[in-house]
Amino acid sequence: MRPEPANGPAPAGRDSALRRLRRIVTTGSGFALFALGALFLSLFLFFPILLLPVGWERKRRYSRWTLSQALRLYLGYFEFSGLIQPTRFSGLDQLQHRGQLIVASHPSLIDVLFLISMVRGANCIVKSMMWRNPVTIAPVHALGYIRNDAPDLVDRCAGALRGGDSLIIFPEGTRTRDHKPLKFLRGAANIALAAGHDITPVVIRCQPPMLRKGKKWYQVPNRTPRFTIDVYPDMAIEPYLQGLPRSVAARHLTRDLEAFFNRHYSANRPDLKHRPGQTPQ
Amino acid sequence: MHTKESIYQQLQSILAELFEIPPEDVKLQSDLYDDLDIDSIDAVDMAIKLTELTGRKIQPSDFRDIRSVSDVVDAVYALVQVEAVS
Repeated sequence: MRPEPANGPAPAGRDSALRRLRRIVTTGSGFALFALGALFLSLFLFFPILLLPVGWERKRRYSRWTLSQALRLYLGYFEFSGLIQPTRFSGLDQLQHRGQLIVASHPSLIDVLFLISMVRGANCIVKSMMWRNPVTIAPVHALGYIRNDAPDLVDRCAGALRGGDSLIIFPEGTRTRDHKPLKFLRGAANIALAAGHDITPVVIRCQPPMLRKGKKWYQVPNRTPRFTIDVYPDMAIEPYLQGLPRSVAARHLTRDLEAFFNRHYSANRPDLKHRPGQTPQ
Repeated sequence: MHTKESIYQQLQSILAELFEIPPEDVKLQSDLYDDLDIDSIDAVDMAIKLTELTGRKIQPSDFRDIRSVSDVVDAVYALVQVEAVS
């Protein structure tokens, strides 16, 4: 943490030391709340759901619905407590169908929470260690999430899409880095090709960046961050299914996706000039 | 008969066909993952293709300790030798 001048006004465009301190406290309490909430939901919601005498299909549906509602509350708290500014959305109507393959940028630890709170019946690929952690083991079972160490990962994801799940993927495989072009792995493209499924691109940005890779949670930015979430029209998979070996098509699709995201990720930065009423092209 | 040289050439054409890697970029010391940008999904495709070409069953697990192009050539060569002897 950099020391702030003890008195005198903060430089233009930055929050005062006091406001930053408040955001550090809010961030800490946010994590504490999340941990407590996870424990509470695990014990009193996901675990009982697992014991319900209903089929897996229903268990998943109940779990996923409840989780989106809980996360909606949680993100509401973030906004209410002044940790983030109200989020700007565009194209949300394109996120309302079942069985979407949602491919998103990943600037911050918490953007998956936005997506899970908005997407109906969302499925995710999560770290296999969550199947060994006593707090997360019940949730990941009840939610029917996909383990990232599954040997048939691509087929499982394609199967989930065919079964009507919406699948959220961060194709970078890690968080988006600042001041660097986005670099995608080819897993997302391979899943789209295996399932023959269109892709819904969601460009998530956070300005200034918060909770990014390699930073401590208390290293809060100078200004209150704002998330911008732009949902774009589906990208058709059809042109990529024309006779090329899948490994080649995956490369072409990944290249095109990467170019699309890089174009839109750096464009219309909310920290630059925001033009109301204009949707990014 | 498979020699290391012929396996190497076959591998170059496989990498070109499956992954659009120009044959001149494929050197024996090239690292598959860092230099040639091959991922775990590609490794499975490559194993299937090598199986077709050599007529020897190659499991993706045979590639576990493999990093470089020469590792692949050596592993495939060892497999076809074993088959030829037995």
